[in-house]
Amino acid sequence: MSVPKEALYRFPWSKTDNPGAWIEVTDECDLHCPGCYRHRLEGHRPLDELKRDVLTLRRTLNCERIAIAGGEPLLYPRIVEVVDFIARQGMKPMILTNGERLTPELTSRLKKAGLKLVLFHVDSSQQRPGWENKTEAEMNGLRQKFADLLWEIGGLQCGFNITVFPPTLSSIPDIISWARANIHKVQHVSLISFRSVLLHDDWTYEVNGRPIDARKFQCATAHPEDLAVSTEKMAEVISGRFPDMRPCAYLGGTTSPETCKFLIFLVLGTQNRIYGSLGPKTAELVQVFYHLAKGHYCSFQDSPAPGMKVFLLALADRHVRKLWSRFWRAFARNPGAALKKIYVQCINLQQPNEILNGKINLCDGCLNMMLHRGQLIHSCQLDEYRLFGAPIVPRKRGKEEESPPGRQP
Amino acid sequence: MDLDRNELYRFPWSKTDNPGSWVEVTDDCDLTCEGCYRHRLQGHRPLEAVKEDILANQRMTRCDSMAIAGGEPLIYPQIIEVVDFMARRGIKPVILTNGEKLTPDLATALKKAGLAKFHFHVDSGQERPAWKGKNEVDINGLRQHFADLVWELGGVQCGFNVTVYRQTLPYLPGIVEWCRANIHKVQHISLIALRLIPIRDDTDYWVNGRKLDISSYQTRRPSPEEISITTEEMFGLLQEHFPDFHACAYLSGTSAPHTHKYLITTYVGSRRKIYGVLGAKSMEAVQIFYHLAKNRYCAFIKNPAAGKKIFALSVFDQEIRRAFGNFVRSSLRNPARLLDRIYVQSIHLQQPNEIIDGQVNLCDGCANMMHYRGRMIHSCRLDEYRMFGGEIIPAWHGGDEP
Repeated sequence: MSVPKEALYRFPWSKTDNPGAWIEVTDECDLHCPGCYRHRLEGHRPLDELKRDVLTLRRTLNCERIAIAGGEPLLYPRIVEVVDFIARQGMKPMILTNGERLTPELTSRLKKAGLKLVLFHVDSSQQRPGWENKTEAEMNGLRQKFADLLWEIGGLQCGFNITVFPPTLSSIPDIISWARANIHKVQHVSLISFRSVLLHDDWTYEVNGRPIDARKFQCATAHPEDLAVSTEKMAEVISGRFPDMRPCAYLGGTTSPETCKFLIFLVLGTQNRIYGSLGPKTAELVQVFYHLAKGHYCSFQDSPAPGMKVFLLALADRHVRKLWSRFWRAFARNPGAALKKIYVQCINLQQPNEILNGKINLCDGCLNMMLHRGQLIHSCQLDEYRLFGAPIVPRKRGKEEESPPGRQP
Repeated sequence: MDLDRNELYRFPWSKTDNPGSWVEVTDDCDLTCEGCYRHRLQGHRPLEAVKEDILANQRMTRCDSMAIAGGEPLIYPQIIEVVDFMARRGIKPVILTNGEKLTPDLATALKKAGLAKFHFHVDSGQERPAWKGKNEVDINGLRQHFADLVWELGGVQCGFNVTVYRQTLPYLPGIVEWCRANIHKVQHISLIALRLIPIRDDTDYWVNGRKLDISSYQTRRPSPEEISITTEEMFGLLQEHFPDFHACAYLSGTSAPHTHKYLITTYVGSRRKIYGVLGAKSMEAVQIFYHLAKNRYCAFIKNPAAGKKIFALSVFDQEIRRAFGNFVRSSLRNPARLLDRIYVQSIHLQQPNEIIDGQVNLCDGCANMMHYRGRMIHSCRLDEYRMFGGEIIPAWHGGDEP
């Protein structure tokens, strides 16, 4: 990767002090995305149970934002009540949706209930009715539609989730380029590498010491090359096309700490011009002073438009110093354009649950922990619990993962 | 004992941004402690291999301090070179020793090489020749001997490790009482609950897909009471004896986040009187400002004689405000106390590696991770790797649920 990890800030998040948490209201959905790892087993979950989970999550994690996921949360009949409940507890509700059911009326009701952020899952693999066989660049048309819908209503942050497959890796710049042009409308872009369970003669999977049939996972693949996208590769593609973009902070892996499971870029700019990326010290200052003041870490800022005061960070962050001088050059050329509102856009690269060195490597400090039967689990492992009762353990057939040294007498 | 997490700071430490790390120079030792989980397999390690591990540890963890452990590091012939190598790279070297081989001359040589701290493992479960049949409070005599030795030396910090057994648990207040009286000499004490694998007939143990004969790792079958000591239990006991014993920060468990694997109380006082403790906000401020300035978290502050400026933290920390109040009242009664030096002292409660609900529960954010053959592992699991090539995984076969 182009940016050495030593130069990045490791988020201070942990299992018991984490800005984010996750609930799932239903496992039903009106699309069939190829990267989906959620199975239709239970349908809608009872509202009381969800409320109990929200309260337990806040107590356990000290979280400030709750992702409402699924399945498709907008299919859940009492979705407005869920949003309202979370907001009343003083937390930021965020919905992960494919957007198919989102009307301006529903959006207004959700906003009134306290919704802060809508994260749309939109990518070319979804084969949506009317959007079949499109490229990622063409899918920007649908993204624009959703971004405009929220922009019209106002007061809601807008983000996109994109599953990245090896064939779509090279089209990431098309997506980023669109997002940069929409920095005033789009606050978050998550590029998530395709995750799967590999069906291979060399690998078996066990739960509690018993072998399981991995074909039960709908996303299972027999092609190792499907799993070739990593955050490092995505970062390379982005920095290759946009030299002004560099990551500032990350989370490592649980079993392979040297990996970047979650890598974040904070982009600063106006509607007319992108100045560049904020540095690691900015990410650090935001997290630690937010925590000193509020007692919890920051998942996302209330306002995506920090204004000119963002340049004060130049005192501590040399990357902001560069942006400051770019701002003045832009000001000299066209003062009117330079004085337009300044926005921050967050691009994050994620590599979920993977098998590395014979072990399951999860995000250490994961933002999307959830409760399953009272137990705190990584939400990406939920269906391992629902299908088999516990997380799966991979085992390479015939070979030792690592040969032990001979024990001396 | 119910601890309120809202009043505690969760250290911001992680696997790749951590103030501490660990290197072992030898697995030889001149004592045979009851709770020891290190096996004699390899003897002294080559100096080059130790140096490589030190560099890998620093690269992976950004550590502020590194523990030189074993075995008994003081019987490692090139121990001075190890300390020197570390200190030159800006890491604070800490030696974990039983102290048997420590002479004033060796201590001076280690200090010259850049040693930051001695950590003496001293408790009644060690079968030391001259201290047989003594209880934990008697053994404060040996602790005093080491504390005095380091105090004479000057410029090097002094800490103690104590393994806590069910039968020695009642003596904990006696140990802490001694520490409080020696706040000028003793910067640190770790009270570590005994760890052993609970060997049960309804459980199999697996390593890399093979069933393991667990007796090849551990022969003793501990009773459940022996290995059920928790940090919460130790904390409760200490708080009963010392009402001012308030924790400020913790690390939780990897698989059981509700547990406190590592719980810290930091006393503030002079050699004549303990005034109070640091609160969560002070510990948070220390960690984050140190990190903002140095790009690494703080393992321990260089000068334990923090001085009266520490009371400035009263601005946002209630606990320190209370300590400051005590200091002022005490000084009004006896103005000579105004001249006393103010020290800080950390009491760590630790609960290593244990099995909860069928899963191995480790310290999340462990400050004792070590480099082993290209990967970072929890040092408490080193022998699982050395002996079997991987981690021991328990699996119940008695029923569906443990």
